[in-house]
Amino acid sequence: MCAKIKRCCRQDCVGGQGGRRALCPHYYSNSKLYNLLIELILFLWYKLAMLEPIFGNRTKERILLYLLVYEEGYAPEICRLFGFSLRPVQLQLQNLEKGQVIVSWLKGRTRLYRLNSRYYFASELTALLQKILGALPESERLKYFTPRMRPRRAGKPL
Amino acid sequence: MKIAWKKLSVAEIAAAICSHLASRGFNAVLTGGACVSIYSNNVYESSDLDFVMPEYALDEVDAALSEIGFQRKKHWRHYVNPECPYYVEFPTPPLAVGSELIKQTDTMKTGQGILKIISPTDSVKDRLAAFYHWRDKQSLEQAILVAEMQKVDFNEIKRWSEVEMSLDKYKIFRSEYKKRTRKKTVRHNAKAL
Repeated sequence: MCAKIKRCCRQDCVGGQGGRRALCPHYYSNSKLYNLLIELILFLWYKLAMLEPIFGNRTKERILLYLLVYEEGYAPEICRLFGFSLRPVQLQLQNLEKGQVIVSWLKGRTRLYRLNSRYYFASELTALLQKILGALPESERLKYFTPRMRPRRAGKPL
Repeated sequence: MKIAWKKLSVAEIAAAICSHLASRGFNAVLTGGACVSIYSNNVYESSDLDFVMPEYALDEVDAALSEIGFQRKKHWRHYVNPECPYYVEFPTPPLAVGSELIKQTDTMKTGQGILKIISPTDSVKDRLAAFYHWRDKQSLEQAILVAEMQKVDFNEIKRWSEVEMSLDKYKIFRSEYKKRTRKKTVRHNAKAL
């Protein structure tokens, strides 16, 4: 048993670098809290990217959910909400537009995107996205998909 | 094959491309604004030719279209030929208007070959879909134009509008169409007198 690391039960463990507990490779893998955390992360990951195998990636799924809930949006706004980088979002928006799943138009200097209601599978896609939205954890739904639609006067303190 | 693109009408250009694609095994049907141009005798002018094909790989289409001088812009569906005033595009299949598939298409014989094209009724539906879903007034104008110049099935358009849940907008189309035809009749009668 590892002499310096009390919670490690591995027979062959020699401890982490310099025998320090925090660096022991087995310490975390035996911790119940660690396992719980991993399970939670996996649960959230699968919940948040439920249709990744269909959509190809999480960014695309999030963009579609965003456009469903907010009705329209532009790339930097979507990035800000989800913490994505701009380039992948722009690429996914371009791909979706190329496939006519979404449409865009210019408003001033901003390119706004919207789900294409003329898309042949529009109603089926909307139903699928609604289902994903309904299956999201409450906290995620409130954080990302509960938009403030009330007006906010310019200059009003937050 | 050398084609004098600039001397041809929009229908002839579309037919030349459609026939060439057919000879290479592609079943392409003309849809979109170009149909309005053809059905309105060029009163409305479109700048692109939208062909829908059931299934295809763009790489194979690249090879077929390059034989008649059209090159594709990188990563896009547009094909451009510097000598042709129109560019060619391939919207995503299926061939549909709104949520309904188009099962029957028309054919048009021209000096450059046979053109497969959506019917005037489907062309009106196609334009009205843009008016219903995107509130595009220009598309409404185009739908009226086709309805004025071609024989279209209003009952079918009404039935389809109900499916699209846009019966209120169909009424706008119908009343605008009636206004135009009434004006024309009055003008025609005045001339006759």
